[in-house]
Amino acid sequence: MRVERLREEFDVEFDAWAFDLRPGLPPEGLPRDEVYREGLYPPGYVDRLREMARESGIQMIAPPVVANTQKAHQATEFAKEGGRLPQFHRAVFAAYWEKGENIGDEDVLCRLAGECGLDPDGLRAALAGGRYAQRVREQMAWARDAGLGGVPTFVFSSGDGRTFALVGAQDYEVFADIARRIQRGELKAT
Amino acid sequence: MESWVVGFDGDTDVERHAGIETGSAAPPPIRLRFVSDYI
Repeated sequence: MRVERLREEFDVEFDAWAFDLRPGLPPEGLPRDEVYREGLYPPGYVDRLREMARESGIQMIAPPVVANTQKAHQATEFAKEGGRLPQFHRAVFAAYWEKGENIGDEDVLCRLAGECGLDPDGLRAALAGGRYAQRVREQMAWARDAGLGGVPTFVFSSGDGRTFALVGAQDYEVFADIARRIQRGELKAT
Repeated sequence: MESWVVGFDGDTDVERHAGIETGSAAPPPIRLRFVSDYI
């Protein structure tokens, strides 16, 4: 995907922060048709994501269940600490969008963790104890306070603290152009 | 004997030690925070 390509071309430190796109889902998730009736995504958003995924060799499907992602985000923090964030992040996306798995299910998350070289039992214990719950809540609160209205949002930061936010599914060249401007010190602070 | 150049070069402060080219230092990494949900 675009982030992975960017990391290959530039010296990029990747981080992932949680956003709660659909607050209030039950732990087991909800059938997609039911959620779609309420308008989960802006018109055309998923079609654009699917097109970009196809360009990247990923065949997106419509998962039957819209998952509650609270635990997936907590598991993402576990992956960060284990030094496997990019691998786990992609694995969760692929499990959901390529295979239609319910990524709100602890068993699914622990299996993915194991496949990424993380300790599945350690993740299970962390989820049971809510070790990362507060951190995830803080990330979601940051997104709300920052006024992020759309996802995905990509927040670029240079070494001197300048930041630039890119919202939505954009072409790779847009990402690369921002990265080059940061490297050349051309990007103005936002 | 050590050799230092300390001064001002155009818009850039300069502090060089013999044999060390400060101008070729790699830029700091770009930090990218991906804010999203998985669904």
